[in-house]
Amino acid sequence: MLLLAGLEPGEAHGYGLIERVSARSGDVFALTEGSVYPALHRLEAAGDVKSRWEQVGGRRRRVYQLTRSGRARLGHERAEWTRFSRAIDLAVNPA
Amino acid sequence: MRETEQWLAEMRDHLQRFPRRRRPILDELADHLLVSVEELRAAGLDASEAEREALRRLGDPRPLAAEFAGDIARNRSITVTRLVSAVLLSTFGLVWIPVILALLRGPFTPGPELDYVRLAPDSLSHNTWLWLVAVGLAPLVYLAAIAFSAGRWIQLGSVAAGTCYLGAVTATWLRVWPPAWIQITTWALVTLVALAGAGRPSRSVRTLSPRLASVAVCAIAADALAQLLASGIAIPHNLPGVLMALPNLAVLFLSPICLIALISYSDAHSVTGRLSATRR
Repeated sequence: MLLLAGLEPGEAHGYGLIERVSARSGDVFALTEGSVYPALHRLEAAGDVKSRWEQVGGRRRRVYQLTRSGRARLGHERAEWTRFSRAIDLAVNPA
Repeated sequence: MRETEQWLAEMRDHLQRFPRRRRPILDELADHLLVSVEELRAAGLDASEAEREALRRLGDPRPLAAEFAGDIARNRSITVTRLVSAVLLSTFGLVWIPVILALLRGPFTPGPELDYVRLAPDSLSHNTWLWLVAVGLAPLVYLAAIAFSAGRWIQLGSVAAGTCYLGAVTATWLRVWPPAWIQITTWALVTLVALAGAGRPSRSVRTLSPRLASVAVCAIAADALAQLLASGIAIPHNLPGVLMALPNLAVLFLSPICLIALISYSDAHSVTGRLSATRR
């Protein structure tokens, strides 16, 4: 979900996505860099993200972006997370 | 950048089984490392410190390569399963839907080409033996491909065997009743259904479709082999004949379900197990 949310503002390459997720979480989340790429490839295989290659400074760079299916999945997972985190909050901090 | 080159070389070695997928993965990781080093140098580290830190953050190449390899193998297995399932599932419609349609229209007599099932094995023709080999090999190679997340040659063999099976059944049926247009329409419809199921309609259908198709594949093969082994049982050509054959067909359909369930479970388990072992 973090990766999908990180791609929501716009396309990004792997390193940029890691930085973006870290910045959006106020530097609380530092994604394990090695785990990001297999996860992105799995999301691509599932049709939730798509990628394209671009040339940057003479080398190839892979850039990812959300698909429509990925946006739908993000919406679903975000709703689930909101429901779950509210429940935890209610349990930990009862009114 | 010698350490980076060594890291990438190690990654390359670990992914040598997947030459086509290796290049983009290495390009992507190399780009990541270069950007990471640039950022770390901009933050004040010297070149060698930045390189070491970038490599440390990316981690050990062995478990990372194992994770990529597991995903690639699983995706290949799913792709091959879908492809072969679609091909073989289509033969289900080819063989059985015309029979059912014929039964609904009244009794019919199979053409002379189907008489081989009444012959003794030593009198089978060369073409019939080829048909038998195709029918026998297809499910075996296919199951091997699923069970072992097999390499490309077994997977190619699986696809080839599946195609042979389809070709053999098509060739058999095109020379006999019913008319070709019924067979072709049926085949096209069932293939479309199978491909739709093997596509990406939803997560649950994606998961179920290859399993269901696998069951159908095994059922077709088991049924065909059982008929051939019985050597004397012809395809039932009237309603009472079909009803009498139902218990036997039920057994033939149920046993592959158990087999496929076990194989699917063990396949997923073995991929996960390999990754865990590598991480340890």
